Amino acid sequence: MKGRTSVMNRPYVPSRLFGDSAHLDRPPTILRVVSDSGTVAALRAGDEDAFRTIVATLNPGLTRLARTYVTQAIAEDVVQETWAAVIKSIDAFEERSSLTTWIYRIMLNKVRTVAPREAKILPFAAMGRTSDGEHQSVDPDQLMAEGRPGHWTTAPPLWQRLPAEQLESDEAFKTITAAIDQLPPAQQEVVTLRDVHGWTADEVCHTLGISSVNQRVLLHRGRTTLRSTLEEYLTDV
Amino acid sequence: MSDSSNPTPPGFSIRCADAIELVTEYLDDALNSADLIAFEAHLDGCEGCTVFVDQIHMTIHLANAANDERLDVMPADFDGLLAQLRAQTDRKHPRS
Repeated sequence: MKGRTSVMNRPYVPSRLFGDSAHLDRPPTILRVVSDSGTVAALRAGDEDAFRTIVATLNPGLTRLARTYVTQAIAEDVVQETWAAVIKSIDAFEERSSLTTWIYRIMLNKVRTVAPREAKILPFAAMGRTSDGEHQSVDPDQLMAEGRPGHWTTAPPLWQRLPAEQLESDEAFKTITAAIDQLPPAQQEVVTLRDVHGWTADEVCHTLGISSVNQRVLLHRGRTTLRSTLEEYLTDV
Repeated sequence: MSDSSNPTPPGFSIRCADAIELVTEYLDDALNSADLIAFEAHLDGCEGCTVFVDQIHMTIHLANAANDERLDVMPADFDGLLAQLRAQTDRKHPRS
C-alpha cells in the first residue's frame, strides 16, 4: 500500500489509519453553525446578517433532506415554511439541543406531516449483522471462493488504480447521486446526513430520533448498496 | 461465527462475509473489543476485505463530494422572511 496516492482532487485517506470522519474535507455543517454560540441571541435580537448566514448555511441541506420525502418543489415550500417557523419560535427555543438540530426537527415535523411515512422501525431480524433476503451487502456470487464459501472469490479491484478522470468524472458524481436517490427512504435519510452532509452518528440519531443500532443498520445497507452501484459503474466504463 | 461446513483458513476467525457486515461499525469505532480484534486480524490477512474497506471509504468520499450540487442557496422568498423578521423585531422592541 506504500506510495499509494489519491486520485481525487481532495485528499483520500486510507481507511485503516483513521477513525470515522477522517474522510471529511471540512468540518460537518452542524459544527460550523453551532460553534457560533451567539447566533441564537442574534436571531432573537432580529439580526438580519445572522439570519442570512444561518439560512445560507442550512438551506441546501434542509432542502436535500426534505427531498427524500417529497418533490423538489414541495421540499422548497416546506423549507421556506421552516424558516418562517424558526423566526416565530426562536424566543421559545430552549437550547436543549443544538440550533441546527432544532431547525432540522422543525423541518422534519413539517415534511412528515405532508408525506407521512411508515415508521422507520426495522423488524428484529433486520437488526442482525448478516444479510437477509432483502439486502445483500455484496453479491453472494462474489463470495464463493472454491471450498471456502463466504470468502471472496477474487479480491475486488482497487479503485485507486483507475484513471483519475474516471473516478472524478461528472458521470461518477451523477451515478452516486442517482444511487442515493434510489435508496429506500430511511437509508437515504441516514446516508444523506452521515455521508453527504458529514454529520456524526450521534447527531443523526438525535435529529431523526432513531437508535444507534438502527442508524448503523440503515447506514451499512445504504453504503454497501452505493458501493455495489459504483462497482458496476466503474467496471462498465 | 464459522462452522465446520464453512471452514475458515488458518488465522481467520471470521469469514469475509462476516467481516463485511462489521465494516460500518468498524468505521464508527463501535465494535466491541473481541469483534475489533477478529476484524483487524481478518483484514491483516485478507486482501479482498482490505480493498472492500477502501472502496467503502471511496464511496463515502464520493457521496461527500457529490454534496456540491446546484440547489438554490436561499429560499425563493427570502425577502418575505426578512420582512417577517423585521416585523417581529419591531413588535418586540417598538421604535418610539
